[in-house]
Amino acid sequence: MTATVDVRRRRDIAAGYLFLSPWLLGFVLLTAGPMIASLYLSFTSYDLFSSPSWIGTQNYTRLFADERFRHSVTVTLGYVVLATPLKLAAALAVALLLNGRRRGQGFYRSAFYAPSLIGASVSIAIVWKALFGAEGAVDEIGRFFGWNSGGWVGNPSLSMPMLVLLSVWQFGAPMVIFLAGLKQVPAELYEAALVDGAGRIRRFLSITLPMISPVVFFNLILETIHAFQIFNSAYVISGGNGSPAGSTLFYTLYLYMRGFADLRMGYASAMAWVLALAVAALTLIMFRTSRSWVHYGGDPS
Amino acid sequence: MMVDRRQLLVLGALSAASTTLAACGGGDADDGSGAATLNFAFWGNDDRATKYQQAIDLFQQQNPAIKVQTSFAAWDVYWQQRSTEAASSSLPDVLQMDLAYLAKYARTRQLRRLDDDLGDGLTVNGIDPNILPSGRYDDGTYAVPTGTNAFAMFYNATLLADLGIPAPTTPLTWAQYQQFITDVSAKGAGRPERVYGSVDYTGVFWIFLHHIRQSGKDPFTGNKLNFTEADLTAWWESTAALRPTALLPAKDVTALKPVSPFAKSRTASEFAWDNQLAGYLGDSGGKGEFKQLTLPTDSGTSGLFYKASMLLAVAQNSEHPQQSIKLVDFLINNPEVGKIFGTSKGVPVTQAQRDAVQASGVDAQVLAYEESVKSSVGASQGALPEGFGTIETDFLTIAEEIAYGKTTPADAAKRWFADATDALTQ
Repeated sequence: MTATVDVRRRRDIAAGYLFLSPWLLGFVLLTAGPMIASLYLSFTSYDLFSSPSWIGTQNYTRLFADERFRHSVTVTLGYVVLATPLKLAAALAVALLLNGRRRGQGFYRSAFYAPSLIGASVSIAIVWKALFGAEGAVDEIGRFFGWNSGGWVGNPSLSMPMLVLLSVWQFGAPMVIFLAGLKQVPAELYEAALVDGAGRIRRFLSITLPMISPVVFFNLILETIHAFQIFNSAYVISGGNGSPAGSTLFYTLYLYMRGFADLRMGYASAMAWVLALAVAALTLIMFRTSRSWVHYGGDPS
Repeated sequence: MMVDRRQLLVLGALSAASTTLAACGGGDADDGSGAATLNFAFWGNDDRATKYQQAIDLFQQQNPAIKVQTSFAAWDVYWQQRSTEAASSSLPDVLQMDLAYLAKYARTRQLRRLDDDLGDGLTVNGIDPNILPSGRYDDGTYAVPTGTNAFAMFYNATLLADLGIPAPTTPLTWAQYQQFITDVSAKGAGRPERVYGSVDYTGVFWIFLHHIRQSGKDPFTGNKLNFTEADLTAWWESTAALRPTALLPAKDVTALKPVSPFAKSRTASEFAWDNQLAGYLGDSGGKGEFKQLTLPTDSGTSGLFYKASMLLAVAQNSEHPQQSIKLVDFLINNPEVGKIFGTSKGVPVTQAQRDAVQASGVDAQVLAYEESVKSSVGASQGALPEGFGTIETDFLTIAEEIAYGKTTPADAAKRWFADATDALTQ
C-alpha cells in the first residue's frame, strides 16, 4: 500500500517539476546565470575584446570616488522621492473618483489605464520631447500666460519635472490595484461613520486609508523599485547622455554609458550590483516600518 | 548512452566530410575568385546606404561569384553592435573603421593585418603617401582610408549680408574672431529670433585639439595627453566674457538638437569637418549660403591636417579574406564609386576617384577647400588613443555644464583630466 502511494507521490513530484521546467530553465539560463556572471564580472576589468581579468574590488572602490557616479545617485534619488509619491497620489485620487457607481465607468477605467500601457515606450518619449521642447505645445501655452520657459527639454531645472510628469501620467497600474482595494472596504463601516456624523475627509482618513493600507504598501514598494529603473524615457529624451548639463543622468543611464559606450563591463556590472543591493536594502527598511502603519484585515487590534 | 560501432562510423564519416569541406573552402578562397557571401557593415544614414548599394551592385556585376550583404546603423549603435560581435569573433567580413576605434580593434587582433596584401590584391598606389599610414597601428596596417576631411570654420554669407556685417577673412586671430562674434550678436539682438555670432565653440573637442596643434604640439603622445590642465582651463576661460550675451545660450542649442543652430541661421559661424557642408545644406531648408575658411590662429600655424575618414578594414575572423580584400580594393580605386559618393564620405583618397567626382555644387566647394589649405596642413593624424570616444564624450558633457553655468572652467578642467587619465589608462 505505502509503496504505491510513494510511487504515485514521486510521479506527481516529477510531473510538477516537468510542468515547472520551462520556468525553471528560463530562470536558470536567463536570470540566475547572467546574474552570477555579472557578479563575477564586477570584480574584473572586461571590455568585451579581451577576456576578463580579475582586479578584486577595484571597480567598487573606484565607483565611490567617481564624481559622476555620485551625481547619478543624487539625480536618481531625487526622481524616486518626487515621482513615486506623486504617482501614487494621482492613482489613489483617480481611483477614489472611479469608485462610485456611475454610468460609463468601465470606459473611464480603461481610458485612464491606457497611458500605462504605452507610456514606457520609445514613441511616447519622443512625443513627450516634442510636447515639452522649445516651441512645443507646453512652451506655447506657457508663453500665452507670459512664462517663457524656452522649452523644458533644454532647461536643466525643468527636464527632471518633465520626466516626473511622464511617470505620473502612467498611474494606471497602481490605480487599478487601488480600485480593487477600495471595493474591499466594507460598506457598514462608512454607514456607521455616517451615523456618527463623520465628514468626507474624516471618513477617508479614518476608514479608507487604514483599510487599504496593505494595498498602499504594495503599490509603494512596486513603484519605488520601478522608479529606480527609469531608463527608456530618459535615454530618448536626453539623447543618451543625461543632458542638459547632466540633469537627467540617471543611474541606469550612466550604467549603460559605462557598459556599452565606454565598454567597461566590469565597472557597469559593479554598478548594477550596487543598485540591486541598495534597492533590496530599501525594500527591507520599508517592510520593517510597515509594521507600524499597515493594517491587515485579520489583525487583532 | 553507449555509442555502437555503426554510429561511430557515421560520426567518423561526418567529421571527415566536414574537414574536406573546410579544406575546399580554404582552397577556393586563395585567389579571391571563389564564390562567397560577404557581410559588410558601415555607419551612416539612408543616403549613404543608397550610395553603397549602387557601388556594391556594380561590384557584384563585375564579380558575379561574390554576394555582398550590407547592414548599417547610426554611429553609436554601429559601435555597440561591432563590440558585441568582436566579443564572439563574428565581425562582418568588411567593416567601416574610424581612427577613434582603430587602436582597440587592431591591438586585440580583431582585424586582418593587411601589409602582405598591399600591392598584392589591394592596390594603394593612388593613395597619398601621407594619408595611407593613418590606417597603421604599431607595426602593421589594419585599415585603409577611403577619404579625407579637413576641419574648417564655416560662415553663413547670406545671414551676414542681411545683418550688414562683412564676412570674415583670413588670416584671423582668435581675438579678431571673438570681435566678429560680438559684432554679429550685437546686430542680431534686435531680431525676433535672436541671431548670435556662434555657439560656445570651446565645447567642441576637435577645435580644442586643433588649438593645441596650432602651438606646435601633438595633442597625444601614444596613449597620453600632451597638454596640461592649465591649457584646458585657459581654453574654457577664453570665451568667459562672451558667454553672458554674445554666444547662443546652451538651452537653445539643446532644444534644436540634433540640428545645428548654424544650419538654422541662428548663428553666423561654426566649426566642423568640411564634409559637413552637405548636412548644413540639407538642414537649412534652402536658407543661407555656407562658406568655409581656415581656422583662426595666433601662431600663424593653422593646426589643420587631413583626417582619414571612413577607413575600411577586413575582420580577422573572415572566412573569405581574399574576396573581402577585393571588395575593399574596388571601393577605394574604382572611379565609378568615386562618382557615386562624391565628397559625402570625405574627399576621395585616390586620384582616380577624385578625378571622377563631378566638380560642381557641394563637391566642388569641398574639393576646393581641401586644395586651398594644402600648403598649411600638418602631419596626418594616426590611430587615436584607445578611449578617445570616452574622453570626447566627457569633454562635450562637461563643457555643456560650463555653458549652462553649472561649473567653472577650472573645476571642469580638473574633472575632465581626472576622467580622461582614468579612461586612457584602462
